[in-house]
Amino acid sequence: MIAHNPRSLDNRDIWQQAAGALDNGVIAGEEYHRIREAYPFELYAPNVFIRIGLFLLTALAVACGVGLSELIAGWNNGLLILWSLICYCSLELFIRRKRIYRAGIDDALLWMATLLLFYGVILLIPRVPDNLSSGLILLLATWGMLRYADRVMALVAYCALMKLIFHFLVMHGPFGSAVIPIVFMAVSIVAYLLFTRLPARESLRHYRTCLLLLTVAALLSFYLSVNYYVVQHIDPSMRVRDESAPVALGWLWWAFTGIVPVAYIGQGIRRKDAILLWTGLVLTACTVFTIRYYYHVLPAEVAMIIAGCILVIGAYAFTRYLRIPRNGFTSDAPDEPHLLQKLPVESLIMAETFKSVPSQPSDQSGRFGGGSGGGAGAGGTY
Amino acid sequence: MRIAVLKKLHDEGLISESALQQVEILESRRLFSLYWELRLLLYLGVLLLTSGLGILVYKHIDTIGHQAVLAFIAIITAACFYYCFRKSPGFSRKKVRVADPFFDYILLLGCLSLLIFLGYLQYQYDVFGDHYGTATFVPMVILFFTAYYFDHLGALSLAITNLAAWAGIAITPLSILKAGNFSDSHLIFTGIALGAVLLTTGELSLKRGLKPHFEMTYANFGLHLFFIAGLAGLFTYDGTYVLWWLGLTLAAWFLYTQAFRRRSFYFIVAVILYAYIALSYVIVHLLSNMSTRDNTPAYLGLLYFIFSAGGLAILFVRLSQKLKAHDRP
Repeated sequence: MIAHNPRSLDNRDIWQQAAGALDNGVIAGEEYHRIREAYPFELYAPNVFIRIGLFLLTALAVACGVGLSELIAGWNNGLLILWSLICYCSLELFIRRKRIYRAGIDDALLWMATLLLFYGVILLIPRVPDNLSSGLILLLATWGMLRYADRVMALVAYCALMKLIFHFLVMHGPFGSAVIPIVFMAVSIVAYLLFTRLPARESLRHYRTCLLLLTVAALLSFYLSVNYYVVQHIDPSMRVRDESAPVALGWLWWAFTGIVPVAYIGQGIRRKDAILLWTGLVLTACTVFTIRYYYHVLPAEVAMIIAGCILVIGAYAFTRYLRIPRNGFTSDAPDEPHLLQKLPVESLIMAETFKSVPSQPSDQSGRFGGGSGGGAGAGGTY
Repeated sequence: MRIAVLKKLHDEGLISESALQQVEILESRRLFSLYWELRLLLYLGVLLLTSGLGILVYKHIDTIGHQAVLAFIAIITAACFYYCFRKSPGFSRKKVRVADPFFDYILLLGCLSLLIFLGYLQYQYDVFGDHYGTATFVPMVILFFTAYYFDHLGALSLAITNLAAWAGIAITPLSILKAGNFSDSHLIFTGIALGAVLLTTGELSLKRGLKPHFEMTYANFGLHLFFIAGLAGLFTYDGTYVLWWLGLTLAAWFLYTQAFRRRSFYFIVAVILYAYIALSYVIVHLLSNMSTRDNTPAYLGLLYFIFSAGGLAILFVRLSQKLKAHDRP
């Protein structure tokens, strides 16, 4: 199914394991090089910056090619589909002949082929029903995921699936609309169970990153399907009514809105699962915003100060407490470097966080508090 | 490290028995690190707390009084710097490691509250009067000192931003693009000069061994500032655009050879793309001045982009293969 040579991908995985062992000082450089010779990896997989550059250039070349042919032929939708086929064939050729793997060229060609085919088909049909367009996206993105293990395609496919279910339910009148949250919940649960079980299969080993992202998507979609605000706004028949209109089973959705993030965090800690933990942390913020949207309990600044104090004191206390590892937890830095640490993006992010456009130099230091404190991110550690 | 993979390697005789045992011990002792989670929470907490306090002060400025607010900010700043001086092992030309996990955050908080303090003084009491230069020069010096003494990249970024403010421009790339102030000749020349100064400083830090790890930050700011200002010059000065293009291309060539020697993919890609933008501008400019009635310039332009993008892509592939000989996947 997968376009790339599976043995090469396996060898790459072995290299990475060996590199981890090398970094931990378990094996020597000599052993590492012997492993690399025994398991050759011949695919062309360049550095991330080269990948970005190649992506931009390929997309530019294809876009200009489409533009040139449309200019010569006058506007013609069939040309979009033709170009999509050209992109797809060159993608397959590049992978087979040049053995490129996540090189930017293949990413750009895959996305251009998908987008051109989608718009080519959509523009051919005068009035496209919503479910047809989501069905088409689902089809194309699923293919992109299965054939090239493209991670963004996996997420697009999941969103398209949800959208397709949504349109299907809305078509079936008020009853269909009323059960949207329940159906979404059920789908998310099934998806989560599926996506967490599948990586264990050896035959699906090349899709593990895709499945990881899909797990996160399933966790998020479960929360979104029970969030009070979303429940209130997703039902098309409810949209005309005002915000204070009660929602059927309102207490249930409120309970879910509050419990789900806490449950994620709790499970994340119990199972030592970073995915659940991080999703839970992000969703806690969503819950806080949802509650504040409906109930203005405290003035914003007082709420911010209280929450800030709790967070600072809590994080400080936990960091001190876990300095000596307890129950398998530690507050020390992990062995594997964080993904962001490898990129020189930090200083740019910092600069963006502190940005201001002074018309007079004097304004620069005259800024008031606001969103200061920013960008500490990985502070002097990289 | 996955045991199954390493076991297989051991069975094939590629790694030794003791290595495998070591891996097994390491993996069984592996801890679940909450380092990033706790840092994120701490960071969010600091953000919420400072913004909440800021809004509170802003709303009640009439009842609290300026002196009280100033005194409060001064106490925070002093406390932060006191803490940092106590914890810091002192100045070193190399990278300094501080064991304390809160050090970076407290230093950052101190720097920010210092900036707020000085800004407040200037805004309310006009301490520096109309000497805007001094008003930005003083915090800049303090920030550079902080960055070098405590070895903090965040403080260094703040200091460079302040340096640019002192020189009279907004340094963050997005605001340069958004403001679209390409026509201001003063800004263009300041930007080019400052970019060159930053690039040179980065080079010198590396050569003299004075905080060599700061080089990346200097070069990053310097490179983007230099090329954005240079491209702005190219777009603005219609009469001398060939000279601007020549200058940019020469600078790009020089920086490219430097980046190549250092095997920095990031700088190689950035420099080549900037040079490509400059070249494309000149080509489009020439084509748009062609005196024909039909679509020939549009055809030629599109053809140029197709072939140049393809050619550049091939160049990228060749370059990365050349550089990758010593790389790990």
